[in-house]
Amino acid sequence: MSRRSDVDRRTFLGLGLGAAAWPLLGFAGRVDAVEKRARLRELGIVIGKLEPGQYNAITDVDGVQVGHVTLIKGEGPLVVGEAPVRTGVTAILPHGDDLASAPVFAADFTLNGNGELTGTGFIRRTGLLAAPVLFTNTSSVGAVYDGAMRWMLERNPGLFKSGLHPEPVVGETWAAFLHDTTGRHIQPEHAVAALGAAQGGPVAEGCVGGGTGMRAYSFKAGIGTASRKVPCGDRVYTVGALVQANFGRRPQLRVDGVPVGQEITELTPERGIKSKSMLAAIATDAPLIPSQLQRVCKRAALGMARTGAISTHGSGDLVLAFANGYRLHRYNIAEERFAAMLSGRWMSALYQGVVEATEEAILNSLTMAYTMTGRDGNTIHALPLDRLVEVMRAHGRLK
Amino acid sequence: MRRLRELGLEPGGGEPGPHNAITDVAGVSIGHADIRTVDLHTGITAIVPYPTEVAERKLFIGRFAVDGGDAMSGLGVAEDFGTFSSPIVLAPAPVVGRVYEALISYGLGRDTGLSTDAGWPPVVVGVDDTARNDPALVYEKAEQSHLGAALANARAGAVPMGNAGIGGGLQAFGFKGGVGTGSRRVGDYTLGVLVAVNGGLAGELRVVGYPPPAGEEQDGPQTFAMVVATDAPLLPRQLDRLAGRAALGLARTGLWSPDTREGLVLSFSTTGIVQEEREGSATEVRLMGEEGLYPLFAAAASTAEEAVADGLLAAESIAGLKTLPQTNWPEKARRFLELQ
Repeated sequence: MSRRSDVDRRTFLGLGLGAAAWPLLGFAGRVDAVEKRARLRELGIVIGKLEPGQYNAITDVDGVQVGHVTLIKGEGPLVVGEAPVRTGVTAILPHGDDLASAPVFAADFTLNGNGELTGTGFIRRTGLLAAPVLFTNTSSVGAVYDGAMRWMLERNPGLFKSGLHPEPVVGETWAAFLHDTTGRHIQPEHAVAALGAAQGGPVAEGCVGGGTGMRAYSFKAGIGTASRKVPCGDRVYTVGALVQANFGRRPQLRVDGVPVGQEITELTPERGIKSKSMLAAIATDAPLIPSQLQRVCKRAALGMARTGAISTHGSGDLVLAFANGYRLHRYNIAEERFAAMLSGRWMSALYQGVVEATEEAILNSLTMAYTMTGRDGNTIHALPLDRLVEVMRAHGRLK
Repeated sequence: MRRLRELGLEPGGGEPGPHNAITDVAGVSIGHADIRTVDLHTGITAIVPYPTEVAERKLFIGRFAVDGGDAMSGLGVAEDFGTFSSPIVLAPAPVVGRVYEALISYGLGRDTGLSTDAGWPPVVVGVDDTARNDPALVYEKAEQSHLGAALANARAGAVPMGNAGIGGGLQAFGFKGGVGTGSRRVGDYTLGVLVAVNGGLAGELRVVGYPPPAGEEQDGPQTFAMVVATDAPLLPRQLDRLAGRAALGLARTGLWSPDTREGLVLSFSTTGIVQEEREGSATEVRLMGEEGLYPLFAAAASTAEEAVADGLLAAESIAGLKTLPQTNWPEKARRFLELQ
């Protein structure tokens, strides 16, 4: 039970979803009950040179909030529409105020396009994020969009009268190895609940929210996050990454450059529905304009590459970046306005933070996810932390 | 030669600046160099975005391209950083490299540090002017010194149109094409365009919606290039949108049509100055609010529409290419407008 409370206390709190939102009590006993998970840094493995923020999470960027809703139900053979359910929604808010009346600069980047991230047309047109960001599983994009729109309209009934017509940003990766994806178990209210649960502070990782059914490098993965503090002249800015990791072949896996995937060759899934995709959200309080954020997005792909993946033909590797330090109140004014813009000379420092945070977020998704059995008894094993430490020691990276 | 307004036809609303030219945007100057022999009708046109006494300046740039556009250098920086510093040079496609080289020399002559910072990379747009030119002859005769001449000729004020500079060999709508320009006042701001009127099929020209007499059918390039300048403070994404709206003005004339093979519109803001070297971590930028963009969009489209007609009206006949008539049809077009 301690593990469950490690996973995400917020998952249980204040959602009104009761048992439907959480596994049968017996479930926890079916996986390795002694399985202890940890964040990468707690194992002594440090990525890069920059210091993380207080929580080493995307929420270290002041104002950013994250909330999860996790749905785990049933086991055994797939019965479409009933079980097994291994899915959820992760919501990311750039700040806690009404986004439509206080949008922030944003940009997106498609590394490989076989995926969905709604609302990017709006972002490319306006350079703004004016709606929440939500990650879920592939077949539930519509329901999550629907729920996000409900949440937006409830908070701002004038949403469609403002001249700015914000579109929820909903991304997906494919959870069919463990989850009854055909059954579409996510309802709009789950998105509303994830948004309602969003808050600052520590962020639950691994088998939570949109990451519940995901896998990476043939290990269980899901949601991961990390942050970096980046000195830029007279200021220190923070950059944070949150990923939903569902990609990579086992032999590709590298941890801090060590070919861990070639050392730990056991614990592979019994059958091979491949996973392919990554969603990444990058947040910063640095004063970036949209064209600068576009460049920041690309560096998330480098963080992914440092964990070994190549972004395959079938991948949906999609990145969103936003800068929440400047809010464009009264977006529709006819007059000119002023904004701050980070000097070009500090962009490389920020890139270093983005690459490190993305790399560590992906690895946190692996070290925090626990072994999960789902649809048709399919099991994805967790990355064994003792073996990971052993391999890193053998390569001289840990004492 | 008379301009469209002198014929009583005014596309769209709004008032032009004093010269009805891209140079009405403060700081912008235009220089042409003609390259002419008996068999050659070409040249180079330089759009100089800020006064030459300014050592270096980084401005925001945007872009709209039909099917990706064609030969343009400086694209990487323009797309990724959304900035440029160089003069924008419209040159015959075979000599883009030579002009590029000359722009590097020009930049180094102003500042030896230029090769890695301001002034780099050169922005050269290749224009296909082979309707009446042999590209091998263009390649033989165009020299780096022609760019120097274009830059030395750069002036604010009235802009030579028609056959000047890159306009020398253009063909459009079965008529002699050329360089056109125009401007609009938009509130406290000014917007101007310069267009290489090249392409468009005979019989498809429309002026304020009216079809003038058709030109003769011609085989020739279906490519255009246009530059939009404004002193309104726009960020790169906003400039991308402005460039697309300016292209709508070209579509109204028929210059951008389903037969267009390549088309490029660049847009820049003279007041979106990127100050990279200041102390501290951040600098201030200005940007238009969304509602402030729409009058600029409308002005871009109508100015582009007018500049196409002015470029055609200013052109002079070469090598059997006739010019758009100045008489007879404008009064019919005026009556056509009155009936609307």
